Amino acid sequence: MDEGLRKEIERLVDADVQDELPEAVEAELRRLMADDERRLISLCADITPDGEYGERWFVATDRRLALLATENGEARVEVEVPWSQVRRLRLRDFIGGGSLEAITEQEAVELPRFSRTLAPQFARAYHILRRLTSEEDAKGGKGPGGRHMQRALRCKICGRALPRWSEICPFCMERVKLLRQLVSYLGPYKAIAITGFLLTVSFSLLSLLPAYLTKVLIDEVIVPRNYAGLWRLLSFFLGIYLVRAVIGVVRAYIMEWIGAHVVYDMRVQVYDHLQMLSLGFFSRKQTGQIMSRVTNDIMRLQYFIAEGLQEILVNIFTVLIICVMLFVAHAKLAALTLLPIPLIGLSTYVFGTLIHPVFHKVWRRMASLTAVLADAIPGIRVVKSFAQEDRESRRLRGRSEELLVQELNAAKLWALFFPLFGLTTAAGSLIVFGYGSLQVMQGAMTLGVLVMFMQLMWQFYWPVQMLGEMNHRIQHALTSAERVFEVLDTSPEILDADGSLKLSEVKGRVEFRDVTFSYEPGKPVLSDINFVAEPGEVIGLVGPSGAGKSTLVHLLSRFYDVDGGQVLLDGHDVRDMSLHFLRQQIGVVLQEPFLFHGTVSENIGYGVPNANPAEIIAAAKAANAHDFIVNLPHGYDTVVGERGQLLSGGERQRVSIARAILMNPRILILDEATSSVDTETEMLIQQALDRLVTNRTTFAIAHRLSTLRKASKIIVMEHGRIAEMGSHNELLDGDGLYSRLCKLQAELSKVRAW
Amino acid sequence: MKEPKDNQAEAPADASWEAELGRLEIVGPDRVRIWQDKFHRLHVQVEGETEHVDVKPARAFPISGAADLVSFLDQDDKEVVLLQNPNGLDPESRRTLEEELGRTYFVPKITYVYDIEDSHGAARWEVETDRGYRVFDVRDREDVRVLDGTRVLLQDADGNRFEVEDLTALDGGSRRLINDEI
Repeated sequence: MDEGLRKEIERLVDADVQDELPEAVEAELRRLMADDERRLISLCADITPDGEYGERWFVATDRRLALLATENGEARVEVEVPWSQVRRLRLRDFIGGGSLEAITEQEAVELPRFSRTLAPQFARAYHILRRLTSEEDAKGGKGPGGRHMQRALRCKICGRALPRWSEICPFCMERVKLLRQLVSYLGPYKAIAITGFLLTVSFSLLSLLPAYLTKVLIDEVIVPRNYAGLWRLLSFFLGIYLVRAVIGVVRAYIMEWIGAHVVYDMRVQVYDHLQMLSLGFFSRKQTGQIMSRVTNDIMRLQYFIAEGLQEILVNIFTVLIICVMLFVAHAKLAALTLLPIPLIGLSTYVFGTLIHPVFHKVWRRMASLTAVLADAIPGIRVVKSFAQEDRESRRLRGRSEELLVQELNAAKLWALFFPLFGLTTAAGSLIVFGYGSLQVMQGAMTLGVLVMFMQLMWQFYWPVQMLGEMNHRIQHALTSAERVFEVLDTSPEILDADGSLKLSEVKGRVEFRDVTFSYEPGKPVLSDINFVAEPGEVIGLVGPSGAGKSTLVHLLSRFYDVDGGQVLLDGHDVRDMSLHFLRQQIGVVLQEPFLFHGTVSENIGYGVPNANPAEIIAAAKAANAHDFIVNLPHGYDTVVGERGQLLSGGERQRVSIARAILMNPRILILDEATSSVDTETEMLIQQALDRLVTNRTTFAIAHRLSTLRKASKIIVMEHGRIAEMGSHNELLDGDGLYSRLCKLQAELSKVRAW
Repeated sequence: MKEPKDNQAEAPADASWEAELGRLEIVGPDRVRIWQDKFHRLHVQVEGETEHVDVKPARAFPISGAADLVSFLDQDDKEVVLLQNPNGLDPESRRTLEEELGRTYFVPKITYVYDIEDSHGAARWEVETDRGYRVFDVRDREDVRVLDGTRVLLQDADGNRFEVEDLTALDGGSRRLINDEI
């Protein structure tokens, strides 16, 4: 093998394609390989040639390719192909798997077969090894199984796949750490929290005092007919209730106050953080889902901090204090009273564990019901046009039935356990009545104490039950906390490099030098991109969808960083610049113009907060938008609804053009709308765009021939590479992709009527 | 493309629905031969037409089986032949096709479930399949689909697929574990 080639291969080979081999395989390889033969790649495959799950070992040296198997501690070579015979390699994608083949003069030899789990490693091996082959591979196409879902991220600790929504592993979620993190939010409110805590304790105490006073009432007032003492005791009772009421009010308010403040802090932190996250984060998850989940989770946390936590504390204290009181009064009876406790606690816990999955199913059926509604109602136009109302009703009924079934299941569990609790507590009270009465009748205990016991008992079993549920409540709250913290834990997008540069004057010369990029390793989206755009040039980007045009412009705005090569603005690498500064130099007009909920003038002035009305109108005029705006009921103060619904497509386009004009950037990214507008509007938009691109370095992902004709340079992209580059006329003269696309377009436009 | 007449926009030949249906070409198995060469390339020949080399087979309705149709795609992912009722092929062709389809759709059937460790929908399954023992992670309950009440299709976190042909045919323990997931 050529020395230079081998060096290149060795440079590319890394730990990803070097699995550890078992000793038996190593031994066999040592026996097999020549002294100067070097091993390049060794990977474990998980499917046997027969299509069963089993281990095989794929090894590529500089002399051969081999597949080894082990049996009874011995390894043998199952398949072997010397490099000299290999014409080219072929990576095949299937549903649920793939394989790597070596093609010789006579045949194709299958080497490793693997599941999708191992596919990335083999894809990488393939990309490295094909440099060793002489022939260019034929196009692969994809076929069934070619288009893969994005692979799951895996937990760094336990290796399990992370749920679609989360970057935190639910198995490894550290409850204690989460609790501590949650509690840390109370930090700024320490003093008030402690006050609230003390008030809670007092409240519990005061709630229990009446029971004791009842004992006093019976033993020292009623029985001995102590009339004088009666009034004193009654006023005592009254006093306690009054104080307790006051404390209750203050405590409740304090807890709510803390809850509201903590949640406010959390919310602000989350929303701030969300802004800073990279584009990648939002493309991975559905933004709507994020927002609703985070809002819900924060609300749940608020409830937990304000009330749930409080309830838990109150219950703990109540139980403790009661225990003390009972034992002080009559130890033996107290012990008996406590007998049913373990049973109550246990059964509550068991019940919780059983009902949790059922509740979850109810929730899921509910969600699927909502999903059907979410489809049918916004899509009501389609439902009615296709006369499918009956079908939708049936679907809904089906889902409702499923929901019903689950709710009944939950009801069954509920109905079974609740009486059980009642019975257990009843049993407990029977013990107290029985034994206690005996004690009183025998004179070993006063009536007052017995009555106190009875009163306290009822105040006792309830908190114990609540505490049995405590675990689940905390679990729920922690799940919400986890989701909120997950958002906060996601690292923000690429930070500014040190010494962030801000150019004093931006001319707008853009250069892409040897740029390569892929979203996922092993699947290059852009390769070898090289071009220069001089200031003021209009560059047309053309190519089939998926060719990489949008990715290219994303790299310019630094939504992602290049894997190889450089993106330069006025000769400076964009990574050396302040991110904020860079993006301010780039104006964007998108395909689907997004207008915020606000007035027209707010939307136009979005990039320039201090714009005065004259500037806004000037921008609107330049975008041919002014005329229709003043015709709106409230002119520039008209509120355009969410996503600017009230405006037509052409009007929204022009507002977004005005927005870009006002920002006056040196560089412009124009993603042309493919939606058809009438010719007149088309003309207006065209004019507006013309004014917009004057003197700005423009990257137009173009669909209109008119734009392309004016472009000084057209870059034709295909499969992530630059296929052709030149002016419109130059490319037309050639006979490549571009001229073919143009002829197609010309044919299409002949059919359009208006 | 035909040249349009002077002042008439080019009209498609016959846009009626019947004509459209008539143009749909589904080939019967009696006219088709399939074989594989030493380069593992699949060849498809329809009687009287050119032979297609290096095609990939794809079932049109792999899950519902609503129609027994197999599409053959060229290397540009464009269909070249649409075959119906592949069971009617001659034994050689049928065997070749089934082998190739078996390769293209690697979907092990779960025969026994050892354990499913679940946490909020993300679960680790430990199963025995008709291809052997396997452990895999399912990300989401969405990735577990129940069809016709007893057939379950799964997709794991890496994109591997699994199937339970008939839930009722499994042993009680496995069935219970799976039921908790759907």
